[in-house]
Amino acid sequence: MDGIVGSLRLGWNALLFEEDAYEEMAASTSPVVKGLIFIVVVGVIIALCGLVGTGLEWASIPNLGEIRDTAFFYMKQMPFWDAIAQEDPMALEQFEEWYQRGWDIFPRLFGAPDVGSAVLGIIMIPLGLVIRWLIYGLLAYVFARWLGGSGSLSKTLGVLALAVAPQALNVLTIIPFLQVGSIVAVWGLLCAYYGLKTAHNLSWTRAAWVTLLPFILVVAVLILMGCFGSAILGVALGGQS
Amino acid sequence: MSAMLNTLLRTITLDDSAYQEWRERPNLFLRGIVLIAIVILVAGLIVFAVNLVNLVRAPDLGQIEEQIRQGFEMSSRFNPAMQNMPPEVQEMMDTMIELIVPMVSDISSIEAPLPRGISGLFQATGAYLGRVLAALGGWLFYGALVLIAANLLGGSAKLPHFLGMTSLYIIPGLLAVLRPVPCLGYLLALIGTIWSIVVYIKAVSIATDLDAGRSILAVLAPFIVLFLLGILLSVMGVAWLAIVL
Repeated sequence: MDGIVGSLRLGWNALLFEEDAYEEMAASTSPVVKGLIFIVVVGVIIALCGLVGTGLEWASIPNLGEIRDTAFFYMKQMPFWDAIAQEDPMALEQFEEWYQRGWDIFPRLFGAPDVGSAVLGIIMIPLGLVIRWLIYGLLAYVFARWLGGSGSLSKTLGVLALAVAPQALNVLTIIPFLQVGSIVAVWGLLCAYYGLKTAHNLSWTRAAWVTLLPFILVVAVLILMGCFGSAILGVALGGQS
Repeated sequence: MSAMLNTLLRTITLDDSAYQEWRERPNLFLRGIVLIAIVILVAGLIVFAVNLVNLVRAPDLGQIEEQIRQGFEMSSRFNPAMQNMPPEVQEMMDTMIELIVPMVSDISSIEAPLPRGISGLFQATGAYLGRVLAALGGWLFYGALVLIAANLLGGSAKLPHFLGMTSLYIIPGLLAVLRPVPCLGYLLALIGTIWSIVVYIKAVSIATDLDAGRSILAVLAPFIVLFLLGILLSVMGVAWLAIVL
């Protein structure tokens, strides 16, 4: 319990960019374990808060199924409905199928509260945070060493776990309809910069590059994959015509 | 408390000693966060109250009906395609309008499980507090970029200290509380924005020990770079689409 409280205290200090917090984490006996516990605790807390917020949001909006059925009831009375029914009854059946499917997909895409996903978040959010932490940590470590950093991988992962601290702002999602927005990402990036600078004894310019290079690499890979994907699709479609 | 308020008010008049006093206070970064949160909450109080009243009140079905009819009337008056419609199409449109009005009314009267008062309060509060987080996110993001520019121009400051200093920019934003005032509100909000930029430049100058000219450059540089980057990405996107299509 003391370990968890100690980690949360470190997280709070890291949030305020206090270098001591990053130094303490880097110098601790098992920064990876400490970091992992911190991330899992933060992840579970924000998922639980998100679940409460999603539940309240769901209870604050009208039933989407009722809206869907009301709109459909009136649509069936519109003049075009009869005209299509006489010409092609199959088209109406297909329309109805797409209409129902659309209502299953689009509200979720546009942020309609989904209690099921929020429950799943209790597992998926901590898991996602841990996976992101490991991948980013590994890439940042490689770039830091490349640019002259002196920290070990465990130190790097330890300090980068503290960069997850701004995720704690997501506890505010307990308030329904509150959009936390980009603040978590920006603050997290700044914490990562501080952590990497401390763990690897880097100058500010090198630390900034080490912080950004993993993102630049991922974006470059995604763009390349997008280019290849669209080129392959273009060739495939061109071959068919 | 009153000493701090006095310091904050003097920063608006660009009083050097006020900036120095603020600089020497402990936990400057945390103070900056609290300052921004309080100013945004105060400045948005009237908008929050108006939103709350609108969201808590039951929808006026008569007004909704009137708005839909007015919308169709406007489009039939100004859209040439709707003016020259054959009579049978016009009849079909009229029937559709007759159905759309009750459809929208029926959908508007579907109730949520929670009473309208509570769900309205949730929605208004969510939007109200969301503005604080957006302002803090923007302050962190732009502040980090300005600090990079300031460092490249020869200045130096620690990030939390720098951010704490630049948080002073928010004080003239209090003028935004008058935004709902007709005509004058927007003018006052504009004056507040310009004033905020001036306070930001002054804070950068004090925090990084740069002269006024370099501070202006450091504050404007991220905006210029982001603007040019936006143009570059748009051009690249259009070029890629032209190649693919």
